[in-house]
Amino acid sequence: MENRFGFKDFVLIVLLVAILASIWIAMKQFDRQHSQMAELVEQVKQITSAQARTERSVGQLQGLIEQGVKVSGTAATGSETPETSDPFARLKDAQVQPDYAEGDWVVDAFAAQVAKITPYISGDAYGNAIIDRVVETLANRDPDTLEWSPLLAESWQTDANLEAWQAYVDERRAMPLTREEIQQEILYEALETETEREDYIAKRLQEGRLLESIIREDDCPIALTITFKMRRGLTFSDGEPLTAHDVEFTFDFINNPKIEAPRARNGMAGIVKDIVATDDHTVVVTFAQPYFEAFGRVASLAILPKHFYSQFPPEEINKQPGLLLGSGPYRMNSPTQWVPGQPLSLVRNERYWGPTPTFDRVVYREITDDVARLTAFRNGEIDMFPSQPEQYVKLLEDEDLLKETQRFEYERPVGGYGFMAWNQLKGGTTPTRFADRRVRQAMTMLVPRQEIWDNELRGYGFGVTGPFNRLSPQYNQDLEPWPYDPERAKALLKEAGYEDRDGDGVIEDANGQPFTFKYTFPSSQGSNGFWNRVVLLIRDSFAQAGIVVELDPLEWSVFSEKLKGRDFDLISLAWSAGIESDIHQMFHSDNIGEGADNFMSYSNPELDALIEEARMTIDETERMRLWNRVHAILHEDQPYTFLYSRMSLIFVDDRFENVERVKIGLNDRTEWYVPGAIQKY
Amino acid sequence: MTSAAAASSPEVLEAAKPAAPRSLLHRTLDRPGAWVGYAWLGLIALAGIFAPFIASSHPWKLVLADGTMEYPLLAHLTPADVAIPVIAGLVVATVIARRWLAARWAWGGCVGLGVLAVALSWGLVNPPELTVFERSRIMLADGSAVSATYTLIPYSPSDRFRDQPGRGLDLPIAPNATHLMGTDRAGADLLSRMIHASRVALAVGFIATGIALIIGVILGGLMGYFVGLVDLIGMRLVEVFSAIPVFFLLLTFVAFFPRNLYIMMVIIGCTGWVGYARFVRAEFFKLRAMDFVQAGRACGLPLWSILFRHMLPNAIAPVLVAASFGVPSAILYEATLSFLGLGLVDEPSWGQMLSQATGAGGNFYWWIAMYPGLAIFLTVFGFNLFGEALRDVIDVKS
Amino acid sequence: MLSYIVRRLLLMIPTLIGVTAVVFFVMALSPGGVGGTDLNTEGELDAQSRAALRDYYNERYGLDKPLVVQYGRWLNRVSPIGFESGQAGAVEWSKPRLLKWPDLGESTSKRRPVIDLYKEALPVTLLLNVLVSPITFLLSIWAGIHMAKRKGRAFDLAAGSTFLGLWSLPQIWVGVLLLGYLASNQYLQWFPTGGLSSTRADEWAFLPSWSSGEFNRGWLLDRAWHLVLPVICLAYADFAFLSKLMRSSVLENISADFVRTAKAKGLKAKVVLYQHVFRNSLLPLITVSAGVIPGLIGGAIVVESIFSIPGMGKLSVDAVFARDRELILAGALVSGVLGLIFILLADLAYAIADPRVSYD
Repeated sequence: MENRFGFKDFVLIVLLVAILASIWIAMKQFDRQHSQMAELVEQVKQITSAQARTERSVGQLQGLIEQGVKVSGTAATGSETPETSDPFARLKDAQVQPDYAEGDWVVDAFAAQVAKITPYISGDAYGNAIIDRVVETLANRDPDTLEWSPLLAESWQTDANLEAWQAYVDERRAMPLTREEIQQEILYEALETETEREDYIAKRLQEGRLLESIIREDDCPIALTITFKMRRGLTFSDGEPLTAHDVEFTFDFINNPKIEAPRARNGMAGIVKDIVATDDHTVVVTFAQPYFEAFGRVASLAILPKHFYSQFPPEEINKQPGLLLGSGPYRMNSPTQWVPGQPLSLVRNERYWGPTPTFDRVVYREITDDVARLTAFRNGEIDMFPSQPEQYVKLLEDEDLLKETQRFEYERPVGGYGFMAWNQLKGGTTPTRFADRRVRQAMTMLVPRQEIWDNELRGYGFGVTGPFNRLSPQYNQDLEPWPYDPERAKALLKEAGYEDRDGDGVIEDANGQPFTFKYTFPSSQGSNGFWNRVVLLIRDSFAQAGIVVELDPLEWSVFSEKLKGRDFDLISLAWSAGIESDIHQMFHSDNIGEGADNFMSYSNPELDALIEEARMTIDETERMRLWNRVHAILHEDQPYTFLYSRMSLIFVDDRFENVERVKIGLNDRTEWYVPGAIQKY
Repeated sequence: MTSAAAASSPEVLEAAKPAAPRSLLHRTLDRPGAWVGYAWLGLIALAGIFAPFIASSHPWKLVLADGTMEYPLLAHLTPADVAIPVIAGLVVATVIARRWLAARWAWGGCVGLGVLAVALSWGLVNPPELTVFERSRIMLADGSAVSATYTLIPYSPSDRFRDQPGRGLDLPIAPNATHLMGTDRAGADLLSRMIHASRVALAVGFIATGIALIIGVILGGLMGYFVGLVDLIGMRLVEVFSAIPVFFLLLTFVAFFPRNLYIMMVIIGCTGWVGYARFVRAEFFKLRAMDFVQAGRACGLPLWSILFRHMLPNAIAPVLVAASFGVPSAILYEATLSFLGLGLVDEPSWGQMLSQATGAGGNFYWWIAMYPGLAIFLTVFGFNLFGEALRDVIDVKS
Repeated sequence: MLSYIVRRLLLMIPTLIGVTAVVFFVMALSPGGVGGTDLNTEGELDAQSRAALRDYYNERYGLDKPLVVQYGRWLNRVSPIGFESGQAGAVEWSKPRLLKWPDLGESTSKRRPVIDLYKEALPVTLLLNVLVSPITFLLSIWAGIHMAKRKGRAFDLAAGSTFLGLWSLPQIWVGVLLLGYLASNQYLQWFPTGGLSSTRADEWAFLPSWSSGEFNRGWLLDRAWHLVLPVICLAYADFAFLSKLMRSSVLENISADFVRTAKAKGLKAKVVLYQHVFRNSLLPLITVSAGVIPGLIGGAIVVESIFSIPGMGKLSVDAVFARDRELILAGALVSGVLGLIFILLADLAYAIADPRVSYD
């Protein structure tokens, strides 16, 4: 009987497993208690140290007052600094409201798990949302005017040296390239066969000196200098002062090739030559070429504390998920300890150099499931809920929800646009029928865009006529959108040589080739995705004009491979836009090539020249005039069919006051507050 | 398409075994469960075979204002629409011929005619490349056509009623008098999609199982016959495919290849052969030592003849049972992949419809959940009932 | 026995290499590159980051090398015995290492070490399995015995076709219906729509508690509440399948000679059933369980996607949609190892349960 396995043994085993499981659960419980305890201890420590620091600074202040030093009124406005230079004016207005109270939390939800929150290393949008609360920039966009207004800097001064720079560039361009110079180029050295090398030299001799290499030359004069004066009395959340040296460090940090910050590094390359701190409060930025976004690139740098980040080797910085310390109104409880999966909770930076931040905590919850996120919002577990149009319409019927929330429908000046790109050179070699501008115009007129805005976007979408945001001065307001006009489209197609020649309903070109093509689109969300429905609508609309469209849904990575190889007929996608967008990357003929972003191989010399000119024009009114002309040309050429832009639809919990629409969209949550009586946390 | 599985097995089996397999299939009818299975499968088979004649936006007959007639339904038939009913008819005719005329040539003739029908329909049937589903409705509305005779359900599965622009806001529409099962989220008639989807489901089920069966029988046969090194390598291959969950493999493979029904069938077939290979291997293991195999070898019969003409018929019974469970699981795989968003965009599929039942807003559309889900369930259930009955019959005999 | 286990463990190596090779080459030969999306939260493409990341991945993952080299490098990284890995995973032949930690690489879509992702996801899926397996096994043993005892009677017949029906119910349908009717705000909202815990469960006490008249369900109960629907969805089909199996196996044994002998000895019917028949009837269950448990991991793909549970299944689906090579390969490896180990465990359990089987 010793090897018998009966029912009793079975029960015994089950019992044993149950006991082990409960032990494990008990251990888990201890763990949780322990970690909560540890957090408490940490908080107590911090409160104590904060108190100590307050006492210290009060003491210092007293000393200063006794010495009779004038504390305020040090602002010296630079030539270009806007007059209203108080970045906290709006917050201060809120703080004098009778029901204003500090305290409470604001809880937001992320639709994905955040992997990294180290500034510049983090690539995802959600990670950046957290970083933006913790680190600050030299200047930011005023929410009402969209103009740059000072933040960490108190003023700045621009010195242009454009004549000398232009003269040098022109002179160098006029000088012919020598073979020796070409042979020293990196691309040349990478070539292996002799014929390739010869071809390369021939090509380079024809091209001449390129701007990007001229500006790297040592003798090339600096095009532009911007001198930032830093505010005084700035500190990081650990109490260390923030000085000009931290700005310089940030630039070096980004440009350290060992640090995985390709995005930021690329944004600086070829534009910013150097950033140098001349003393504790002055930063001199030199630019290698005049570029309209030059100021923005530097002004929007998140300033990192040198004393904190310089203690880690680059490998450590790349590897660690969360090294986050800055000067912003909120801070991580512990700037080094965060790992993915842990709650993302920012606490008030008690040492903030500006007005005391309102909320005790800014919390982010990671809820990947759409439905769960909505449920959490209904239950009051999160305080805001940005919704898709379909959802939004449904939620508007929900009385209970409407009673407890305020809602906002607005256009964002950074909102992007969806488009259809007509490939003019398939695979980079074969011209397609979309190379004919008339065909592209006709195609646009065949797309029932109004139905997309009204039905698919439930009336919260609208049309744009070009790649700029409708709220931006770049946008040419004079342009009439192309109408939905199948008859005119058919006439245009006929003019271009396409008509039904054999009576089968499909239009053919002169050689009898039927007008058929493949429509490639991203199918990331399965059969319920936005594009899946839109493409069906567009296909049916083309069918009525006698054009056969084959649908080709692709996963994102296959999709981007097709983009890279320019192996498609028609592709749909969306670009994001900025307050002022640089469209060189998408429409300039320099960017035609494998993997480049003018993937439809569109080229118009007039447009190229205008884009180049606009990019180098520093004067804003003049530049906007150029952008408007660029817009008009794109509208006429229709390299893309611009499909839609959409509004932001957001619900915010009712307990927040001072949530307002501003020009930039919704005002920042640092300006919101909850009256004391209805505070929740 | 249904002929592949049905055609190959009964004849060969009869040649080798006293217990005729036709009577085997016959005997499953003793079980009430099998009746239910047959009934439902017959229904969806009919729906699948005659889908375009049941549900189509193209009318049978369209009388134009000038009195001339058009036959849009016939004009829009695809080669598959023609070939499938023809082949189904051939199979039925053959069964009758075998039974009452005892014609030994019947299956050969069936296969020959079937191939001919496929070739002819692909060569001759030439539907317009371009389909405008709302054409007849527009013509009726603007008076250029006088009357139209529609099929039972006058909507094609991809007809999204673009002639009614205001509809977009109400989608999906709940079941009503016009749309008996409502519409899906893009506005197509759900019943019509259901009917056309039964063709997709059956096609995937049978073809994928057919592919798996062929691979499984060949590999399993070789492994069982040769043993030794071949067996060792073959078993590693079997182990590779049985170590990871089949669905994980499927998911990976399907996501990495272009969206295409045929590719999906091949992939489901290529990942599902392991079970058949094991069965065939085990049977061949036993058979290879038997006298008739030794005799065949001694006579110098070619290898394929020994393997597939003599050994296979004696090993086929358990494989057939496994295959009758394999078809529903292939159908389920297709439904699940489509449900996860890896299926086709426009082609109707039960799984894809089901995935539209719950939405981003937390909405739940019961009709989109109920009908396609029920169809998948009944089909799988039907096959399982049939398989169960078949297994019982074979078990009782042995 | 020990030598048998060692032999089986060694045989796993070629199988695992085969598994990952199949997955790797299918991925590599299909069109499309390695994932890693550069879309923002609105699903829009950000021009600046696109330009920056263009060559980043090639450089980082050595994608410009031949396929065999890439696979070899991957194999070297994950194998416990091998060489040091250098830039882009290149094998440094001069630095052999015995026993190193397998390096599963970094996920391109989630930008985190793959091993961390699996460390988070695996326990979730195992939790589901640990809950589901005993329930299904115990219930189906009970149901199977009772059906067998009442063979041919109404209960047996009704249960037989019900179980076949249950087994045929597609998981996707059951999931959608459960979600739609029991968890949506249009019908009964008894259960949560998905996830493993409520958003604030981490701040709650572990056990349910009443404080100042308000009931707080606590972490444990909350977790259980979230698991009800997924567990039902995972369990019903296997329950049906195993019950039928148990029934037929009990029936087979009841008519066996040794049972007749036992009855002839004058043993009570109960004793015969539970001492003699029961034990022998468990054998086929053990054999099948080798397939059922990896099957559960596969089934978790569907259930975890429907109920958005962050386990292995959800991770695999995410990985596949994002074409995250490292994550998919690791998924194949992990599920392969698990599958093989379960097969081995089932074989061992069989040997313990059936004294006639010996592996020595």
